[in-house]
Amino acid sequence: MKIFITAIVFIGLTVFLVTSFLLPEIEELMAMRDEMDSHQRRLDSLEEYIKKVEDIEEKRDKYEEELKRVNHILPVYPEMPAVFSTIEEMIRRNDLAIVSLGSVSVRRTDEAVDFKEVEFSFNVFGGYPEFKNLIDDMESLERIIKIDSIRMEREGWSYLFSVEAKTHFFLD
Amino acid sequence: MAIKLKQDKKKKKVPKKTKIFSLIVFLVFFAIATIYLLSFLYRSSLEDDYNEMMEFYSQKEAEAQSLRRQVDRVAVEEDTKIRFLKDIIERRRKTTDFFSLLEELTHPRLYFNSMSLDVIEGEARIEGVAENFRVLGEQVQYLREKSAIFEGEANDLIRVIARGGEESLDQYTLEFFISEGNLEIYIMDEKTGREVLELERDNQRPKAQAIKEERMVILPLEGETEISQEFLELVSLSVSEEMSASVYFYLLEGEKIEEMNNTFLILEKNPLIEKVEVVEMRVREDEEEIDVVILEEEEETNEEEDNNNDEEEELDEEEELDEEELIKRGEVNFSLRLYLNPRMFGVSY
Repeated sequence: MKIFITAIVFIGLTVFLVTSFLLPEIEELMAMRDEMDSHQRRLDSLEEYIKKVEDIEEKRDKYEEELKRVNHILPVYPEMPAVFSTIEEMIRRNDLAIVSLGSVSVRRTDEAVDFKEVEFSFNVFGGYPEFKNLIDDMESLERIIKIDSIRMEREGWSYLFSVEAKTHFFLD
Repeated sequence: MAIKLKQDKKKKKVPKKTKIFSLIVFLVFFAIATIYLLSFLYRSSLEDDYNEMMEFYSQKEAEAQSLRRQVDRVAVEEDTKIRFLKDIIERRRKTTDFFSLLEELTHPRLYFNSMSLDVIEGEARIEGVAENFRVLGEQVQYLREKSAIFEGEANDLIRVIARGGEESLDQYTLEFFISEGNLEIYIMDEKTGREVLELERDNQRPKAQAIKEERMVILPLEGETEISQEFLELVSLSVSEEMSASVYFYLLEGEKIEEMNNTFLILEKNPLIEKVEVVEMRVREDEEEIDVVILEEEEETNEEEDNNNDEEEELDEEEELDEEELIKRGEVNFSLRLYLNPRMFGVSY
């Protein structure tokens, strides 16, 4: 009888141990395991993302020169003195006389919010072929200069040319 | 001794099944307890792994965050710049292309003295000087060949104003409009500033517009050179959409009335012209207008000549009466109205 009672006590203890301690412990361990699995998946995707970005960076490094050119074409600042200096040099090289160079206004572009455009104008005096060469030179510049309008008035054997143009810069 | 035996007897009485049951119960309890204890060990190990993993995860996340910022700052910026540049380059119109086109379309004996080019609107207004009407006619004819006439507007299809004096040059205004694949050329009326003729280079043209193309009245300009080479200077010519042309001549020298009559006859014989009408005749002396003779009588076409002989005779008499006086007084300006032959322009009225 004693043995029977002892067995009953052990059964009770076993049930108590299982329900009160073992099962919650197992549940907690399973949850922890699940959380670790989930973090592992996120970790894998992070590693994948990092690898992709590193690959892109590696590829980007191959286009370093081109990207430098892009940054030169669309600088963070207007850098108008450099533009004027280049145009002035081109005007002189094409045997034209500068009447005026300047009149700058800056405004946001209509096309994209991240960019601004600098409108400027200049007047030169000289022959038609020389002016055509100047326009050709200007339009071949790396820093993109868009000619908006050209006015030409005959004065004697030469012409007075008025040019309105614009260039862009990136709004950092 | 008896008691001991009795106790042994009693001990032996425990059933074997009960013993086995008790043993199983104990073993189960022991196993469960062991599992529970082992779970503590497993938890400890799992927690170590978890912490290690979380630390690694944090590191990677920080790295990814930094890369993401870098991507946002550099790659997105560069991508935006490249897209913007691509857009600019695609929409860019090379101004030098326009100059090349203009040079290609310009008559060698004609020059432009002013030009206004709006690249944004793709529109250019050019004023030029032609040596004479023949050059202008050739220029317009050339434009016609290279283009297609699009639309005539207002009362005048083309208005050409001759500059008097020593230069005797003809002034007109051409307006070019370049859109995708098409070249539109407007000839402007200098007085109103409105376009009086629009030309467009486009092979895919609706028929209705092709009919309008036939209204282009270039040929009278060419015919004009035949009649004004020696004694006449064409002062102005305008052609209306209703197929009538007003021509204003200036007699330079010679037998003035005779020259005027010759001009009249030449124009009448021109198959392009259906009817010629003298609208106005001014007699000038020393550059001062002294008399105005307005002749409203009409000269009929060759086809209708027989039916209108009486009217013509009346007109001849009137001209004969004035001729002597006009020759004495000096130069004569006269204005004719030409009714163009619609059949020659492919237009049925």
